Amino acid sequence: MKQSTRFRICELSIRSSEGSITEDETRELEQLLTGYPEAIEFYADLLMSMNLFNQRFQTQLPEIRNRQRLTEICGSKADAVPSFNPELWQAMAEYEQIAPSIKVEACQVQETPDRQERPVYSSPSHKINKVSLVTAVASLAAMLMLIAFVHLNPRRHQDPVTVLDVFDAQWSSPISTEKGSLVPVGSEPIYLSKGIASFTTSEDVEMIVEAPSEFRFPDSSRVELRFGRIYVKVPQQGLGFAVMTPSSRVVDLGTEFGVDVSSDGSSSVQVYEGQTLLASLVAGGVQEKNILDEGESEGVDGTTGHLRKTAFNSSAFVRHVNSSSKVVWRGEDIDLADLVGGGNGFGSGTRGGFIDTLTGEWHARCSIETTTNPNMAIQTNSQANPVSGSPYIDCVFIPDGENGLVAISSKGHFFDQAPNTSGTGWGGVINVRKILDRPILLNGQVYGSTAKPAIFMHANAGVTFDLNPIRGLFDDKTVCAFTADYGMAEMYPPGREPFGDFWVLVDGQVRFVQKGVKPRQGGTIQVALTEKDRFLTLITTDGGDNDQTAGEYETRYSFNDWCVFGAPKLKVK
Amino acid sequence: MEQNQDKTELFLSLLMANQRSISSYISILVPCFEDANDILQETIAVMWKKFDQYAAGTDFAAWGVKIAYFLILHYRRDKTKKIVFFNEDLFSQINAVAEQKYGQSDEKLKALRSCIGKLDMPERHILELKYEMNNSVRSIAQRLGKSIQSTYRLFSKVHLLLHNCILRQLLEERSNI
Repeated sequence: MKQSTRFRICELSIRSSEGSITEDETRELEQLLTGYPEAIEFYADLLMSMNLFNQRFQTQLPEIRNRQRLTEICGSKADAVPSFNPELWQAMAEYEQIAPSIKVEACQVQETPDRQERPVYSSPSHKINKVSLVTAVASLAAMLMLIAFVHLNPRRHQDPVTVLDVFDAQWSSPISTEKGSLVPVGSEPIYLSKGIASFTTSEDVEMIVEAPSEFRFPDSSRVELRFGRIYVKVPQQGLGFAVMTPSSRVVDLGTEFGVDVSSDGSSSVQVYEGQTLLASLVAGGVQEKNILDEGESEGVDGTTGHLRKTAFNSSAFVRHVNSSSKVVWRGEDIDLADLVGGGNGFGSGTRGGFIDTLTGEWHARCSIETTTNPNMAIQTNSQANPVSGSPYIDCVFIPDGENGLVAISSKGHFFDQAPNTSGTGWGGVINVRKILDRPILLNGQVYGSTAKPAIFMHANAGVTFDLNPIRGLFDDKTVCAFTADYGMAEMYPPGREPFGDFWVLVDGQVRFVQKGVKPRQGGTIQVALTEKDRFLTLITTDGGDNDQTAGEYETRYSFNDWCVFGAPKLKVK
Repeated sequence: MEQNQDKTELFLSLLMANQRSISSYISILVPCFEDANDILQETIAVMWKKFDQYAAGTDFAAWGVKIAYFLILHYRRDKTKKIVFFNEDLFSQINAVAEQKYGQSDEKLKALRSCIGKLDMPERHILELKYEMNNSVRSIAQRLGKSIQSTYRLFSKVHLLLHNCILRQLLEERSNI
């Protein structure tokens, strides 16, 4: 290593120790050290030396060898106690159990203080740095305070675990597993043969177990998963919570993660947020270990203990369950078409279900899936019609600006940019499968399936979703955006080419508009949402081309304006 | 109560004997002195909290180092938006070196004291200004009437001198064993 490099490493190390190093300098130092073991050794030696300099209180303060001396020092400085962070204690216990031993060279312990030795910095007037004195005294005083804290909370890990929720669950367990019941730690294994159950500890660690699974709680800081699937969410106070499997130990570093254990003992871990320490075990000893970051997934071979990267599957684990609203959430977005179909946004609705835009009534099937008749055309009543059948949909309406402001919510929001339309609608707002036996073809792709749901809204139509009850499906998630494809369905009946407008409003404010859309001219919509937003409104209008009658239909209405919102989703994070 | 007193005494005596080693380990991975000191205090707190789990007779410093490692990971995760850290690969390599070196703290301190005694007075003086009187390099530069950059170079030179001296001293002692 060149002398100039040593100089530069030294200078940057001094800056680091002062906390005055810049980002560019850090990167420069990183470059100087990377790939050069000799440079890393040198760097480590420098920092050790500087630290030994900085530990001046070690060399200047009288060593504390008895309790009386400790009390003498701490007594007058009890107020100068730094705030301690008691986190990670659980993690320490687990890491201690699984960490490999560290080779340690012989450490020369001084049995008696070398009182004859001259201090490092000799000067006629021996000065004791007050900051160091206070720091040393404060740390010792804080330790004494911790003694009291520990003695007041000796049994934290023995608190029972609470059953938070159960969904369609079947058990084989000697203890009560009803919602709200307490599961004593150290009890026999619990076998969940069907459904889902969630638990919480005294430190607010949440676990969701999916059947079939067998598990037990040795104490409230860990869970033994013999086989099955568990999702764990650990807040700050529960840091260090561990999942123990036959082939691995997974220790939380402040995170959300899922663990899957197969019947052959192999396991895999996925980290959704934060970091996790994964250690594979063979015959009780640590084989390999790795720290996984957010978005990473790793598997453990049940026989060899080898770790291998695996594909991250964001929907592999149930991450939220709510038996009251029948929500089992695996991280998917909220499907607005499913809400229109009378569901909860996660597939519980009816495909083909629709809402009558004139009455707000929900029906399981719309006859225009297969046939049509003139009575399907309906004239606006110029009001927002409440939808009582769904807590998630506020109202529906037929927009026509000719009649003045168009009401679009139960809380007095208006569509003030509403164009003049024919004032007629057709078919309602539909969680569509097909229309007139035709598939819904949008921008070249087929919609109307579970994989590609869609809301069919023949112009003129509007539907307003209430985001507050939607947010209520989750405790701690937010709805952050609305996304959808949009366009005119391409399999329209023969006649005039459709031509319509698409609008998206949030609390009455236009956030997206595309006018005069023809088939194959659609696109995508992305509207950001915040916690303050309440009503999301989707509107289609006929483009102003109110047209001639067609065949037997004498009523003046917008012809063939088959407006579709494809894959309409609310993003959850 | 008496049992608790014994436990406290035992902990304190083990800590006094090993704190320097644990501190050295932390300082290699967390160069900023203030942050390293905070982590050391947290490490001590956790060690005390978990002292019941410490197996008497085993390596107290090694146990403390394991705990410190965990806290340092947490620190890196926590401060990642405010501080630029080395990448994970380099961090792992430095950690491996730190694990080898922390146990040498006491012999290193002894060598350091000896080597400081061999420095010329001006060099010892600037070390006193920084490490005894807790002055920043910037303020020392102002006091000496030098530029900040040249003052950093001066400190670098002194540290390099000490480093070479310590290496020689340790080699001599080990060859005498």
